[in-house]
Amino acid sequence: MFDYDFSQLFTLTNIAFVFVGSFIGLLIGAMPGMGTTLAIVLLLPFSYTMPPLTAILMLLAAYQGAEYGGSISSITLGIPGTPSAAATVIDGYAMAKNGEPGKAIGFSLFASTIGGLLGACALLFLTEPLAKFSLRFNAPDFCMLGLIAIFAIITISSKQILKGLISVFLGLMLSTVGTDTFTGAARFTLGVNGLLDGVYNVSIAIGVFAIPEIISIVTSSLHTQYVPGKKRMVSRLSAREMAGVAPQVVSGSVIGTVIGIFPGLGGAISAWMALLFAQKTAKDPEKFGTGDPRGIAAPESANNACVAGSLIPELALGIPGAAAVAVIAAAFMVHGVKVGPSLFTTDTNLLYGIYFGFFLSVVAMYILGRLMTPFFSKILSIEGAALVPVILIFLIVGAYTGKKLFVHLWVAMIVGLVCYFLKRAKYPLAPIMIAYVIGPLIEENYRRALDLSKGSFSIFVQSTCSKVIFAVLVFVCIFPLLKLAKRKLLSPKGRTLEDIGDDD
Amino acid sequence: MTEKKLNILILAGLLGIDGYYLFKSFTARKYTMVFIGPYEFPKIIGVGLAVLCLIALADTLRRKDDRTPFQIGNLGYVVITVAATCGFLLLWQTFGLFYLWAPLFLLLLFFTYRDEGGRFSKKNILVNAALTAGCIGAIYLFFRLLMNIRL
Repeated sequence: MFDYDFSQLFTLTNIAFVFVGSFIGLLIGAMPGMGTTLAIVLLLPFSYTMPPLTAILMLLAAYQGAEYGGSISSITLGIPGTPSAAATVIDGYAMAKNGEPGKAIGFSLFASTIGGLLGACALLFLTEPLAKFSLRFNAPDFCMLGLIAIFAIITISSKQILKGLISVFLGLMLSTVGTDTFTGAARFTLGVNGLLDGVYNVSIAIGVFAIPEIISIVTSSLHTQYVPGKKRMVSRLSAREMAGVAPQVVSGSVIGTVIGIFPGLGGAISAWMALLFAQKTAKDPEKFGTGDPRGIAAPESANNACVAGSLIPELALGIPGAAAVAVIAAAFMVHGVKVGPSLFTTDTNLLYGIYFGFFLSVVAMYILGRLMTPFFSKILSIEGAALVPVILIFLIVGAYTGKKLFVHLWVAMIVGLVCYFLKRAKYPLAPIMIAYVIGPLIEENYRRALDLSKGSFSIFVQSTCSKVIFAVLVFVCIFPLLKLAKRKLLSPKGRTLEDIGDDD
Repeated sequence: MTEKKLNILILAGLLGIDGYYLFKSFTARKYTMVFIGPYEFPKIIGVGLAVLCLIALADTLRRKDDRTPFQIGNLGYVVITVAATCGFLLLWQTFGLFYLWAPLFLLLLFFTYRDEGGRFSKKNILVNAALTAGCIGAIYLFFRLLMNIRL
C-alpha cells in the first residue's frame, strides 16, 4: 500500500478538483436546508469527463466539506446547515451568543480536521482487512449482506419502519428496470430505448434528493434571508485550548468512525452519541450547553470521522451505508468501476489514491475553512429566490450531459415530484437511493445462489459464514417487529403502527 | 385535503404502479436457459410492495382523521416552477437551441420569485438579467469549453 506512486495523486488536476469539491461542500453545507447529499449530487455531472480518481476525490471532498460547513450556520445562526450539525448548535450557538463565534468556529474546524484525519487512518487500515475477510463470502452471503444493509437502514435509523420498507421496495423496483444481465431481457422499459441501460443513477439521485429539496425551498423558504452576526469568524486556538478538547476529539472520532461503518446510522447519530459520551464522561457535565468547547469538539469530530467510516463498507463490500455514499457509488458506476473485494485486485491504484486522497480532502477542508469561513457565513444571506433557478438549471444540464438522452431528464422530474409527495407524507427518501444502488448486488447474488443450488434455499444456510449472516439478517428483520409489538402492547388501544412510529 | 387523504392517495398510486409491475412480471415470457428467470426477483419485489402497501393502507384507514390539512405553501410558485421546467424540457427536446430556451426559463423563474423594488423595476430587471447571464456564462464555460459537451 505504501509503495503507491504518489505522483498519480498529487497532480494539479486532482488537487484543484479536491479544492473545488471542498469549496462546494462547504458552501452548500453552510446553507440551512440544502444538505450534504445535494452538494454531491450537484457536483456529480461535472465528474463525467474526469478520470475516476479525480472524480471520486472531488465528491469525497464535497462530502467532507459539507459536514464541516453545516457547523457554520449552526454556530452563527443556531440553525444546523446539515442534520449532522444539529448537535453542534447547543454549545456552538451558546458560545457565539457569548460573543465568541470565531472561537466556536475555530473549535469546530479543529475538531472536524482531526476527526477527518483519524477517520482517514481508519479507512487506510480497516478497509483492506474487511475486504480480505469478505473473500470468504459467496453469492448467498453477499445477497444477505445487501439485505442486512437495507433493512438495518430502515429499522435502526427510520422512525417509520413500514414507510421505510415501502421506500426500500421502490428503490429495488427501480433497480430492476433495464436489460437483464443474465438473459438480455429488456425489463420494464415501457418500450423506451433510453431505458435499456436502466434508470440512470444520476436521474435517481437528482429525483430523490435534489428536486424534493428545491420544491421544499420554493414552498417554505424562498424569501428567507439569514443574517449572521458581524463578529470576527475563525479565531486561532492556542495549544492549551486544543489540548483541552483533545479527549473529546479522539472519543468523537472513534465513535464517528465506528458508527459510520454500520449502515443507516450516519453522521447525525454519531454526533449526538459523541456529545452524549463527552457529557457523561465529563467531571463537570453541567457546563455543557452553556458554550463549552467540548460540546462543539465531540460532535464535529464525530460527523467528519463518520465520512471515512461510511466509505469503508462501500469500498470493501460494495455496500453504501449512507445516502451520500450511495450517490458517490453512482459516480463509481458512471466510471465503470466495480467496488467491492474485486477492486483490491483490479484497480489498486484507484483504491490507494482514494485512501491517500482522503487525507488531501481533509487538508483542503482545513485550508478553505480557515481562509473562507467569513465568506461562507456571508453567503448565508443569499435568499432562495436567487438560488433555486441557478441550482435547477445546473441539475437539468447535469442530468442531461451524462447520457445525452431526454428520457433521463423526464425520469428525474417524475421521480422528483413523486418523492416530494412521499417526503411530505413522511416516507424516508434515502432508502430509495440506497436500495436502488444495492438492488443489483442483491438480485445478481440471489439468482446466482439459486442457480448453483438448483433452486434450493438451503444454500443460504450452508456454510458457517452463511449461517452467521443469516442469523444477523433474521435478527435485523425481527428486532423492529418485536420492538413495535412490545410498544403496541404497552400503548393505549386504537393506536396505529404509524402513531407508534411517531413516538420514536 | 387532509394528510390522511394524502397518504391514502399515495398508497393507491403506489398500488397502481405495483399492479402494472406485477402484471408485466407475471405475463412476461418464460426464460428456460436460466434456472431463475429475469422476472422472478421482480415478482418478489412486486408482491412484497403490494403486501406492505396494503398493510399501510389498512393502518391509515383505521387511523382517526385528525384533520391535519395538507397544504403546499406558495402553490402558485410551485406550479409555475414545475410547468416552466416541463415547458423548457419540451422545447429543448423538440427544437434543440438550449442557449435560447435556458435564458428564457431562468428569466421567467427569476421574475416570478424576485420582486426587489417592484417586479419590473429597473433594479430588478438588471439583477435578474445579470443573474441569468452569469448562470448561462458559467454553463457555457463549464460544459462547453471545459468539458466539451454540446447542449
